[in-house]
Amino acid sequence: MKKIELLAPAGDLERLKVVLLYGADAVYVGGEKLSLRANATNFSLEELKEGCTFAHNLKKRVYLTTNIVFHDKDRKGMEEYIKEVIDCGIDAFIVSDLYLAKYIIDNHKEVEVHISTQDSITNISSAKFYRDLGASRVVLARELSKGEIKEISSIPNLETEVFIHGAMCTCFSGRCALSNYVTNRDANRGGCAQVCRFAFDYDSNDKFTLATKDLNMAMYIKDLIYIGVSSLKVEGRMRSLYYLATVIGSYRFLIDSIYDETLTDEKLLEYQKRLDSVANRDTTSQYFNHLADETDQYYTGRQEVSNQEYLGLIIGYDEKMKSIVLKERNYFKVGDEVEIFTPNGEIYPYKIETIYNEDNEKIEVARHPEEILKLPFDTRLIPYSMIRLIKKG
Amino acid sequence: MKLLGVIRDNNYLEYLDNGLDGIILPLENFAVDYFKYYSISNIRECRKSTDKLLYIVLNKMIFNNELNDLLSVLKELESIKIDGIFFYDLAVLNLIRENNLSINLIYNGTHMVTNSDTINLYYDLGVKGAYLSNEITKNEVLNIRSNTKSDLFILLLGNPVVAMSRRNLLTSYFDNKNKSKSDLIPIKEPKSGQEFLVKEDSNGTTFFYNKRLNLSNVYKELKDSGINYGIIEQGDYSSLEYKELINAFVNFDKQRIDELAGHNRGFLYRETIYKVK
Repeated sequence: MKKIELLAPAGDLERLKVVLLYGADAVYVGGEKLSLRANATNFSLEELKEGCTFAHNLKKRVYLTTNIVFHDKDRKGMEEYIKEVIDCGIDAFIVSDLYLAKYIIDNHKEVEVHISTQDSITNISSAKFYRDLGASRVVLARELSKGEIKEISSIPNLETEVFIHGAMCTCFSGRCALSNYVTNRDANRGGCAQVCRFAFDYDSNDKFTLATKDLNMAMYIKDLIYIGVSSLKVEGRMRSLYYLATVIGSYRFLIDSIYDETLTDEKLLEYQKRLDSVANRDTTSQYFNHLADETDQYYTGRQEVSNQEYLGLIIGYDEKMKSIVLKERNYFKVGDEVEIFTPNGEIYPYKIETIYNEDNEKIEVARHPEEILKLPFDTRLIPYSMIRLIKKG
Repeated sequence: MKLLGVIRDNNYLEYLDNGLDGIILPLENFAVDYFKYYSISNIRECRKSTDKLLYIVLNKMIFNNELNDLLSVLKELESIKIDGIFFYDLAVLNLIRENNLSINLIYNGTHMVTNSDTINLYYDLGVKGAYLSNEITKNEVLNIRSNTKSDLFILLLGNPVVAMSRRNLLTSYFDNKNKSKSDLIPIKEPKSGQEFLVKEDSNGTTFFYNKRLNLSNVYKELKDSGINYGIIEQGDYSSLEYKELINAFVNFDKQRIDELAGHNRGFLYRETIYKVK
């Protein structure tokens, strides 16, 4: 049985490297044209080429999201752009528009076409339609139950990709233009202003809200593997390095442990807790076990909470000082208990006893984000290792 | 341009007599985003009672457990000799092709019918009509018209559908607030002042723009360009007012249409943005 794919988002080249190093099998990115995250830092052709080379050296894959619902004027230069990004080395396009899907299928056999969740594929018949068109994979609608996913995943010669983690749309993907009407930003061309997270006036005493909690499928990875899903997708091209490292690293561990048959209930709970710790909203499994209901929604205005446990990114090692060098992200101080974690899954519990600044002067408190600091540590760590707070001192 | 009505009361024959060229009937259990739905037997009755155009809406997302019923209703609709089906989910197209059913199809992708190439591809796949999105400009409409052979349908007057969710958002909201449920509420986004109607039924929740779209100012231009069908929704108009509206389109009286429907021209002259610097 082919091992299930862990598919991660990346808003830029650094995120691409981080998610691949932390265990993603493939990464999806947006280019400078045709992507539904028009406001993400999308990849230039040079960056795309570098990203593909980096991924391919690790025997991993890169998918390009070209999933806007285009208007006639967006059509200009489309063929040239498709050719240019193929030349950069991408492995697949994630496409929403039927014309664009067919165009790539007919003209570029060297790449795969995956049909975007924007097309809200909810049944076997429409999935077969895309397979017969030549698509190799469909990204399923987020509104499906376990049984529905299983049935669609049983279609021969068609891969299914399922979202497992991250923010949810309230409405069917592709069937929402709230952003267009409230902000004049085009939801289906990458301008979505997330109006479903706004609070609306309903009556004089109350606000009407329609925002959903986030998705977290850690408890159901085993089910998704056994029902025949091909790829597990994490949402969030604009998320932080720390969030991506933690989420991808956690799912990598869970998937590998399931295949190795070493996953214990204790470990599953530990990783569920870790995933919850980086979330800025509550999470549920949404439609997987039942139709989404009142427990999957929010009823207050803003729902996000900021997360301050990410303390810094390790960027090097000072041999002379025998210290790791890090770029600070959030406040910490002497006495704090932290964990240092690496892309290959190593975790080092660590109590902060000494902090040096860039001039090798001892300081008690790190309070300036982006400041370069050093912490005594015997071992050089691989790039993109990070530090998180466990307990304040 | 032929005029098609979406009716909320039971007087469709009167409206057809009044000048509508046909009506659009949302099929119960298989259509969303409407206020009145019709059973197969209702549709059969309509067919018997008029030779005018009868289009059926079948625009919900289809789930696996609905596919058998979907095929059955498609076969029934073929036997009724309706003039076409507005569809969203590609399962409809796929089942019609797999079963060699002879039914005229209109692609009703709501917000996704925005360019000529895609409409032309659908045409090549046997879908001979497209219901244009309400969120494109007049120039885009005209450009599409000049670049496709497909029959084009446009909403001339009515409340645009803004969003559709599988969630029972009103049930959840009122449950949470411990209040008695309403299936239809108005809401307002406070900063922009934009108002919406939120309606829930057994298929989920639909958001309508609570300001009627009225394309009277470009009606003649659209008609002259060759847009084939214009849709006029009854909405909350009384029977009398709706007849007046139909008359005002048939004997084109822009002033009267505007008196009855206001001046919201939607996105005709307002291009949406999608890159925010």
